[in-house]
Amino acid sequence: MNHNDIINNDLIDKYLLNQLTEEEENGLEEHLLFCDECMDTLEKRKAIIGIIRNELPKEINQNKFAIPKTSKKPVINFSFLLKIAATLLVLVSITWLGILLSDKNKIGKNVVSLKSENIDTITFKKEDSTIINKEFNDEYEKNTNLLAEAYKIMPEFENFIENSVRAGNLEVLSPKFNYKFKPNEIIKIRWESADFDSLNFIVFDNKANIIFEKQIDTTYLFEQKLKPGLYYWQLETTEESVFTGKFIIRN
Amino acid sequence: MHDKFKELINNLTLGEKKAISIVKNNLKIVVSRYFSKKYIELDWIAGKDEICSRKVLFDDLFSDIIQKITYRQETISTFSEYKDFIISKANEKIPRLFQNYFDLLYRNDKKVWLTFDILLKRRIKFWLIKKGFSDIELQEQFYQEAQVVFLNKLQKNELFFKDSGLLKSYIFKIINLKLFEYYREKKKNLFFNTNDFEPDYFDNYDQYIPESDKEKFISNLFKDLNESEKNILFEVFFKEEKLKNIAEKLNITEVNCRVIKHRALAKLEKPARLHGYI
Repeated sequence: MNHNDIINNDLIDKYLLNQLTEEEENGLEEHLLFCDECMDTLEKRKAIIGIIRNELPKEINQNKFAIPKTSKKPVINFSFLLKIAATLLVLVSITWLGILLSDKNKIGKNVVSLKSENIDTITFKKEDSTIINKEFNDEYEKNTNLLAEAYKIMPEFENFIENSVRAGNLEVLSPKFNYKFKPNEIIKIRWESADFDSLNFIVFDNKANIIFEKQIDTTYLFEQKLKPGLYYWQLETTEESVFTGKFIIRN
Repeated sequence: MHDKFKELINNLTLGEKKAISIVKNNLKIVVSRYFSKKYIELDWIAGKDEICSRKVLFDDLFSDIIQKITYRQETISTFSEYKDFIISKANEKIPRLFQNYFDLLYRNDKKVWLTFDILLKRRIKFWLIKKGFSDIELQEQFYQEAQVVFLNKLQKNELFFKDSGLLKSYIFKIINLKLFEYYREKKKNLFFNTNDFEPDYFDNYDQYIPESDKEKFISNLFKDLNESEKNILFEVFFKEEKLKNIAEKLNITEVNCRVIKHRALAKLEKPARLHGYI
């Protein structure tokens, strides 16, 4: 099977939707053995179809999406319409040009008067701007210092994270390590373990203050709003902490 | 193409890494596609690691190929020979895997129940939307009722299925009966096709398990699509209509319809790829 045939005839889509004959299907599958590009397209298309099938229903208001069965109407000839539109455009532009040329002096005067008015009203005061700039700079410096403080790493926790490898038997699926969340974003905590059914979940800020603590199952949605900064979190049993991770809330 | 295939098999015999990964990937696609056409979804047996999972099935099949071409020194000279071989082997293995999966459900295995629940919920929702029921409460109600019936039967140890196709048929029979009841209550006269419970199959639909950030990102992408793009995506990938029929419905040309579809897919694919979601 030819690569161009596959691309031009949407054979990958048809394959995923089971719309190919057996012969075409075998041909495509054999082609996939030797064509990285098609294989890549297939994988990505599979993923995107999965997303469409999962997400599109949420967008759907059934009535809105019901396509009315229209009776067959002749398809509009767009090239003919374009020709008419082009001629009209030329005619309008010629007449407009004529009007412009006749009123040239009048328009010129108007523009000059507008310019002079603008210059009178906008007067630039140098002193004011320096004051504003200074205040702004102070505030900005203060904020950035605070922000920098909120994102500062804490060595003890970093040490915990390094050693948490030894805990074993626990796989944290979400959030990803050092993941940057948007402000107000819900954080999904998901973990799998052969040993534990529930664990104590604790969130610390970067100064080791406990912000949140709760006994949770393998999946938990952490909905509390957090200020921008770096946060550490732990999963622990009554005896020891089994996992330490960190995430960032973006500014 | 035949020479290329022979070369690939030779490289596989020599244990070349690229050949191994190519055959492994191809094997997954070919087997999944073949069984999905027979209404058997391998996703349903995505259970515990060793007892029943697709990964184990694919690894087994791959080692069967290696055994055939190296230890028994039999040749696989064409693609159709290769496909026939893996399909026949998979046919032997799937009923056992599925029975293991069912045993785990019966023994109340948490992980297997979790996958089962997710699949069941999504499939019922999908099936109902295809039938024109977009009411979320109704979907939830049907899911609950199907689950209760299923659980009762399971507790009595009355359920035996050798593959997922039969399981799905059974579940959709339950929902179809519930639909009858629902309409009887509403006193509406509707005609049902008795073949409606025939299950739908979408092998990749279930592989998608959204996380919060991913979900938000993707739902935002859909907001960027215009109505005609959403319409066409819905018709193509949800109702599985052919482009020709969709073009007729929308009163546009087939080429135009194809262009809109590609534009919509590009709008979804590009940002999703950039952010590493696909």
